[in-house]
Amino acid sequence: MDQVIQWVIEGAPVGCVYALVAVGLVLTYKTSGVFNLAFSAQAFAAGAVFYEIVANQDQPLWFGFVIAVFVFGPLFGLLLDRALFRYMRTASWQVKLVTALGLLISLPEIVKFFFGQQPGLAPPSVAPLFGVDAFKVFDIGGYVVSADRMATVVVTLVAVVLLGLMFRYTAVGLQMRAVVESPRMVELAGVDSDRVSMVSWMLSSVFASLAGILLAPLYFELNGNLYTLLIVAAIAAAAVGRFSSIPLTLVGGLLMGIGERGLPDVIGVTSDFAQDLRPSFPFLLLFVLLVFWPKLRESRAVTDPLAGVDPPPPSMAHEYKDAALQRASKIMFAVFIGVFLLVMVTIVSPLWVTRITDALALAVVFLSITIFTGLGGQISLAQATFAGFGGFAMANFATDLDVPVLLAAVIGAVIAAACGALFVLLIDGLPAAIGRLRGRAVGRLSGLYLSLATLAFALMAERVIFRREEISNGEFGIDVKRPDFVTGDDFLHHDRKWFLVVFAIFAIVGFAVILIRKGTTGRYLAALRGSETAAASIGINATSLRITMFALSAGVAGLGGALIGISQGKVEPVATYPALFGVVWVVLVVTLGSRTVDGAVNAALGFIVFQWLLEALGFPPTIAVIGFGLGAITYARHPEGIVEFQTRKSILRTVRQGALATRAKELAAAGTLPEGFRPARYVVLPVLAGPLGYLLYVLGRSAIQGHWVTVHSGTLLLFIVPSLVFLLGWIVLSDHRFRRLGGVQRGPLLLAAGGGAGALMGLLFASRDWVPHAGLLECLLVGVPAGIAGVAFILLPVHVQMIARRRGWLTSPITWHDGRAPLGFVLIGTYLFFRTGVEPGVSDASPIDHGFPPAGWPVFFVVSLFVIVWIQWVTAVQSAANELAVGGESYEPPAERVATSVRAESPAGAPA
Amino acid sequence: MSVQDLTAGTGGGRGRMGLLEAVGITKRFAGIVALDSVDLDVAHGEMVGLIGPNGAGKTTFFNCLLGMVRPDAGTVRLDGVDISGLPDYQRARMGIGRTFQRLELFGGTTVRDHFLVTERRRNGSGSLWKDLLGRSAPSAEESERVDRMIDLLNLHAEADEPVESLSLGRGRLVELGRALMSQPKLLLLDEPSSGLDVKETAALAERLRTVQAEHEFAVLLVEHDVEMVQSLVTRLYVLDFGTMIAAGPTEDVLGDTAVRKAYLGDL
Repeated sequence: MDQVIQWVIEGAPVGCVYALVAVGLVLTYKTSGVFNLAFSAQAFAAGAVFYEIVANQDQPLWFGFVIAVFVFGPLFGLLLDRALFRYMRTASWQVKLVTALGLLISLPEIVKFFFGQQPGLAPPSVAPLFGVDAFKVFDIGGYVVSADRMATVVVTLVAVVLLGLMFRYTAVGLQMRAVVESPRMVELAGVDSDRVSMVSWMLSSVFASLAGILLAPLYFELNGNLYTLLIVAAIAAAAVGRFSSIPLTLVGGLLMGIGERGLPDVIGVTSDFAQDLRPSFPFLLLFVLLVFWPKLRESRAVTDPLAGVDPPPPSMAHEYKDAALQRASKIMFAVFIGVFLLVMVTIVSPLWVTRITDALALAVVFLSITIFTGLGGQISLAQATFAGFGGFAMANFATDLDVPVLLAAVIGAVIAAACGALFVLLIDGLPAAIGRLRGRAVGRLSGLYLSLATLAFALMAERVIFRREEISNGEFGIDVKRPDFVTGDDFLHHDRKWFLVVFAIFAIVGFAVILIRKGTTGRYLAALRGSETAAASIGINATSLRITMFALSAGVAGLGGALIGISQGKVEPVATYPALFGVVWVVLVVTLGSRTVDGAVNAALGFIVFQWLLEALGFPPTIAVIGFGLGAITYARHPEGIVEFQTRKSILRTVRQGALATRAKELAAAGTLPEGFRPARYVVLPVLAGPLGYLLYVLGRSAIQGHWVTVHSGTLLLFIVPSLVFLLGWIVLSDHRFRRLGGVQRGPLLLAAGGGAGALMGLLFASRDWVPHAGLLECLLVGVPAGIAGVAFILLPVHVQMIARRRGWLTSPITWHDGRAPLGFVLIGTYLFFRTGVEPGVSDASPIDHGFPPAGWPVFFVVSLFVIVWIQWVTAVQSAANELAVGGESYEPPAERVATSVRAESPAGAPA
Repeated sequence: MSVQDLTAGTGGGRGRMGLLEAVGITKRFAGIVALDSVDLDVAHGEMVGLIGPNGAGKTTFFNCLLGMVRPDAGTVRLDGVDISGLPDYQRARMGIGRTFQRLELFGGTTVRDHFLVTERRRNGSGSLWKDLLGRSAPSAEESERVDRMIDLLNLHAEADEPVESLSLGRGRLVELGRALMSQPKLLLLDEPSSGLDVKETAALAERLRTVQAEHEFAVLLVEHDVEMVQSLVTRLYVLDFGTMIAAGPTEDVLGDTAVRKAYLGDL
């Protein structure tokens, strides 16, 4: 009994913190349907704000407390609700989950970006708020409790009592209580659920902030990692309350804290296993609750009754291609792969070959997400863990049993697949079997709950399985050698040989995924995704299909994990397969596109290249994670993925331009082609000539001299300026034409204002000497065109929009949305110019310069992206202008050119 | 007239071989008796109706027949084989097809995909290995069967549209087509006319009659539209508060006072 009291006293403070976050989770989940995994990150942010104010700025404790909890907290909640989650009310659970995951991974990095990477030591306790010294020790009936722990409990109690009073005595409290019970009933009663959800976001953020401040002193440091674990404990606590009961959630939080403290004593402190198990108690409890508590999995996720009225999802992008385009893209694809392989085995430097190889190995892991999410429609947060199963199995087989390493990788994949299958049996089979004994049917774990179970499983595996000596050789890890036939540089550098091996494996797996998607299994999975009941009604065995899907996905992840291990030469428990990577990866892949192999490749290349790019440009690489996390916000708009969306957009545009060209040819044959018609290439080629010419000049000179050469900025200008002048001329001329057609009448004024602003910026930077390697002339030469172009990117599409509206067209061929990307690139490009100057960082000093890409690649990379985005915009605007010229009242898109499936988004030139 | 009387007078169906026999199906939900020892049988090629007020337990009964809900008591036999212990998908493979009261379509796929995936499932020719060898493209025979179903239901215009873009009426046709593609011996239709207007309902009934005449499967129809029921079925069961209150030839049952009281609202 004494011992139990000891556990309670020691565990309750941490339990209180868990309970606070858990209450926030339940509040927002029930009122807005968002399971906000980012509360832990918000807690961390509030903790950091508090630490900054009190510890670093030496402001009074109460001031820091008020700012962090009652100003920062609610404002942050308000921001999340108003700017983000309000628009996701009707979105699917995947969208809400992915957005929350994006915040979960990016917020802590943002906080670290502002507050520094180091954990804050000796975080201030809130005990002095009660007039007690933080280090004072109380004696309660023979048990010793420190003041800050007492304070934690007291603050929690006060917060909970206030919440209870608010629920009991205020109107909005009553409404919130009702929303938690039944959101639909409340809406029917005429309550503005928007407002209720806003209040609950603010309120739960206050709770999270409070938790953030209280948690740090309990662990004696302010450390982002602790907060990530906090969320799992909070989820487990909320699960005790079945994600809906607030009192039970509080009990759950306390139980978590006490159980975590008591567990090692129950198992016996000396056991290693107990040591590993203790921090994973929350994961274990969450997992057990999700798996073995049928009532929990039967409490359906909050769904929107109007979800069915959403427009149908778009078809896969490639289905929009017409026959000619399909042929062309097949040839392009083959040529691209050929050139890519050739370049990789010849001129690309070994360093970059290694990086790209890493990316391809990662792409194999990402293909497992394509299977799980793209085909299976579920979200697994444990793919890094399955990759780890494959990696460690491979390493053990290769080192202990001397199995050839590639064979060991295949064995690793098989073992990972078996683990995947076992995982399904554990989460579905076991509960179903228990259910059968008790005479009741138990549903399959899916949706949000499946994701939470995979998260718990991943974190548990990282702690309990991967750190075991027998598996990973403890913290030392296991060294892995590459296969014998890729060592030695006899006919090819060994990194290049290994690259070819990884490429071949990736290609095989990629094709396999495409074949599965197109094949029977893909069709069955699509059916299952659509409706589980209906799939059963035509005889599809959902259980075996799910086992297949899990096993395939885990197997592919395992293979990729093994390849990553072999590539890196070592597998380590923490560094190689961190469970949180599983979250980052899923967010990245679904953001870019989880249905296609393209999406996986782009995600992997992005993951690797973006980090190197940032590093080369002098940013901390953690910014990449912020970018990936915030990128998840676009997922709500494009659930098919950015890559897929962009591909579809560009295919549709190509098809549309083809239709326009045919129409123009007909008109020209009839001699009625309007004056203003200019094929887009008349504009694109002169604009491209400058950058291309410069590139060829640098390549040519480098080839002659045998190493990468520095090219003086004067030469650069010589090439670029004519193109730039042409572009500016075209912009002004287009503006003029559009104005005559009835566009924005203040066009020239706006353009001039843009140019003026750019000139002022240039002057400012030059006069302050902020730009290395560049004088006034160069600053102006960049500033003025950038200013004009920046305005034009938005202005010209708005012209077209206005004209289209005047003519009564239903849609405009181009909208101001198309100007956002080029505008962003102008801003980035100008910033980079001001940062690095006009010299593209090319020097003869570094030995890497003799390889490919040269040391100045980031600038080239960014500039090329910039030019591509620019050219796309120019093409789009010129085509829109042509459509306006040819169009008018009589224009109708030639139907036969447009593929059947494009009907929904056919050229909009047709009059209303 | 009591239930026994009506059943005794039944002529239709008795002459033919029994296909479905449900005996003593009982289901309770937390103390509420949703089905109380319900008996029902359907002969090969017969069209039988099941009517009753909302909440009478019709859909629960369907779910019990298909194994989507496990009854607390009772047995279900199909062609003389006891299928009570089989999971839902196996019952479907044994020849029970169904449609749903609330549309259950495979979102994100086209009408053609619906029929193709069902055909593939029925002929059982698909496997993961064939997928990986690239040999899972629809065969000529499969495509032909799919085309024939599209012809039969006159779904040409929307054959390659994602099903989300279909109207409710067309969606019901797709469900019907999907169920038919699996060549069921017994087709369970759960309120096929709900949400359809009079014309659409008549067209659906007409189409159903033609298809049934051609393929001679049995139908168990749950329906509120008495006209549709009358025009299709020869025999009728009436369920009220989980109890079968009447059974027999359609006209007799519809003329029964107890039925009129419980269901048709006559005083």
